[in-house]
Amino acid sequence: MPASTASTVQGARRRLGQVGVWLAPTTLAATPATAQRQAAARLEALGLGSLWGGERIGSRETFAQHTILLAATESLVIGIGVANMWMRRGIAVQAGAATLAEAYPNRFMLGVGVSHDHQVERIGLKWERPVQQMREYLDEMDAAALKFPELAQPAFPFILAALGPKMLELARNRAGGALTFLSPVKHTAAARKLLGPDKLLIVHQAVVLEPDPAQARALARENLTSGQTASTVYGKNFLRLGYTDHDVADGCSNRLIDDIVAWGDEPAIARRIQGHLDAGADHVLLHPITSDRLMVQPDPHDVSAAVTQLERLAPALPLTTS
Amino acid sequence: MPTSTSTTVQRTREHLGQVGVWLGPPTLGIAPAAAQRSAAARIEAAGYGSLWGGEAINAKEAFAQHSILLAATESLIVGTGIANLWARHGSAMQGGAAALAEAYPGRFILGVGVSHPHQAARAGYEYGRPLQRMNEYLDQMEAAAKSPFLAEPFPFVLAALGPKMLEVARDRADGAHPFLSPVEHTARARQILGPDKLLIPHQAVVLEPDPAQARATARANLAVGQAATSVYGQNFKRLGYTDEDLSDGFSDRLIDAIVAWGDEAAIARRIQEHLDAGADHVLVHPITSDHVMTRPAPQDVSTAADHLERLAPALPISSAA
Repeated sequence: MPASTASTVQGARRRLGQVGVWLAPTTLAATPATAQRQAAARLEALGLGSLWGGERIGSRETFAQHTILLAATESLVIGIGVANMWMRRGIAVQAGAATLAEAYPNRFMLGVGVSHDHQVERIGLKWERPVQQMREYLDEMDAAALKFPELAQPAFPFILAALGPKMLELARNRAGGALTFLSPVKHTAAARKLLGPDKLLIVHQAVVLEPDPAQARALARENLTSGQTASTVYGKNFLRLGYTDHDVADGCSNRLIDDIVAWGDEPAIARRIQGHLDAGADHVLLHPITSDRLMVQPDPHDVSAAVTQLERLAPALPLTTS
Repeated sequence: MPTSTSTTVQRTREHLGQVGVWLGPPTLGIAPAAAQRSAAARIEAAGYGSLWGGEAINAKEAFAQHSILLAATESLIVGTGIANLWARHGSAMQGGAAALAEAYPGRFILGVGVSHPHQAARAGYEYGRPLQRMNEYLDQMEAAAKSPFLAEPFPFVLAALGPKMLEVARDRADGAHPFLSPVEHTARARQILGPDKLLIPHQAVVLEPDPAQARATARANLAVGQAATSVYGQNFKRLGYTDEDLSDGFSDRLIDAIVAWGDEAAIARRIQEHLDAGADHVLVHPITSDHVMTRPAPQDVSTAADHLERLAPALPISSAA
C-alpha cells in the first residue's frame, strides 16, 4: 500500500539526517546528465542527506531523471519532490517507485503532487478540486498495490506535496507524510500539528546566500514571488497563515519574503533551518537561489553554481560529513 | 520529435548490429535489479547489440526499469519493447525518452505500443480503437517535443503487426517492432515500411533440438490463454493461418513458424531468414522453461543469459569479451 508503514517512516528519518537539497525541475531540465552526475557526487561528499528534483510538464520524465541521480551516487537518498500526478496513472507511479526502491535499497523516496493549474492546462487537462483528484489518485495507487502486491514491494517512503489543511490530512491518512514548499516556519509548526508525531514532514526552504538585504530580497522576488498572486496555491497558503492581500501583492512584502526565503550569511541560514527543525520538520531541503534568473531563464551551469553555494554553506549546517 | 530523420535510422542501424535480446516483462518483473545487472553485463559481453524489455502495467515501470539496464552496461543499446502508452501521458513518454537519450548518448531506443485490452483495463481505460488511440498519443508526444528541454532526438519505433499500425510506424515514427511473428510477416512489414525505416522483430527461441519438447515448451508459454483471439491471433489469420492452426495450443505448423527451436545452427538460420526478409535487427527472446511467461522465477533472467551465451557463437555478432 502506498501509505508508508511506521517502520518506513522511522527508516527514512534515520537515513535522511536533518538537511538535504531540492533542485528545481527547470534547473535540472537545463542541465546535461554529465553535469548532474558530477553535482550529485559533490553533494553526496558534502554529507547532505538527500537530493530531490521535481517534475514539471515539458521537462524530463521523473523516473528517468531520478534514476540518473541514483546511478551517479552511492548512498545519497534520492527523492522525487514531486512526481506530477497528471503525468501517469496511479498504477504506473506505484510501479516506478517499487522498481527504484528495489534497485536502490533504502535510497529512494516518492513524493506525489497535484501540480498547478497552468501546467496541467497546457497539456489539455482540467485542474480542479485538487484534494478530490489526489484522493482518487491515491485510490488508484492503493488498488494497484492491493491487486498486484509486487508493486508494493519493497515498501518505500511516500509523501504528498501539501500546503492546506485538507491535503495535509490526506498526507497523514493516506501517505507517510508531507512535503511543503515555499512556506514560513509557522506553517511547519501548523503542518506538524496536523500530521501528528508519526509522519514525515519534509520542508523546502529557498535560500539566498547574500547578506545585503536589498540584493537578497531582489533575488528572491525575481525567482519566487514575481508572479505570485492571492489565487495561486502559494498565495492561498500565505493568506491562510494570516498574511494580507497587501503582503501577497506586487512581488510580496518584505515581511513575507523574509519569512519564506532564508537569506543572509551562513549562520542566518543555519538559524532558519534550525527554526524549521524546532517547529517539527524532520528534514529541511535547501533550494539555493543563485542568480536573479534561475527560475525564469535556467542555464546549464546553474546546478554546479548551486553545489558551490551549498559547499560554502555546509560548515554552518548540521550535517554528517562522510 | 517522435519522427526522426533518416540520420537517426542510419546511425541506429550502424550501432545495433544484427542481433539483440528481448526479455519478457514477467522475467524482468520478478528479477531483482542485482540479477538484472549481472545478466545485462553478460549479454553485453556476449556481443549482442541490444537489450529490450517490455512494460506490463502490473510489472516494473519502463523508464525506471530500462534506466537500471543502461546504468549496468557500457555500450549496449537498451530499448523499451515496448513502453505501454496506457501507463502515462504522451508528454511523460517524450520526457522519459529524451532524458535517457541525453543521459546515455546513442544507447536508447524508445518503442511504444498500445498493447492489449487487459493492460488498458489495468490502467483504468477501455482499449477502444487502438489506431486512433495511438495517433492521439503521438499528437501528445509531438506537442511535448516542442519543449526546448525535450528536443533530444532518439530512435523511435512502434509495436506494429497489422498493416495500418505499420503505416503509422512508417509515417509517424522511425519504424516498427513486431512481436511473435513468422518470417513472412517480416517481409510484409518491410514492404509497408519501405527501405528507410527500422524493422526490429522479436523472435521467440527454444534452444532444444527435440521437436516434441521444444514445441511443448513453446506452447506452454506462448499459445495459452487468449492467444488465439488476441492481436497475435488476428495477425496469424491475416497471414493465412486458419482457425484450426489457432485452436488447441496452435498447430505444429504455426508454432514452428513463430518459434525458432532446435540447435544453435537452426536458430541462427531463422534469424538469418528475418534479416533476408528485411529485418534490420532481430531480438532473440529465450524461452528457457515451460513456465517463463506464466510462472516466472527470479533466476529466469540468469538462465536466459546462459542460453544466450550458448547461442552467441552461432550468431552474426562479434563478442566484446
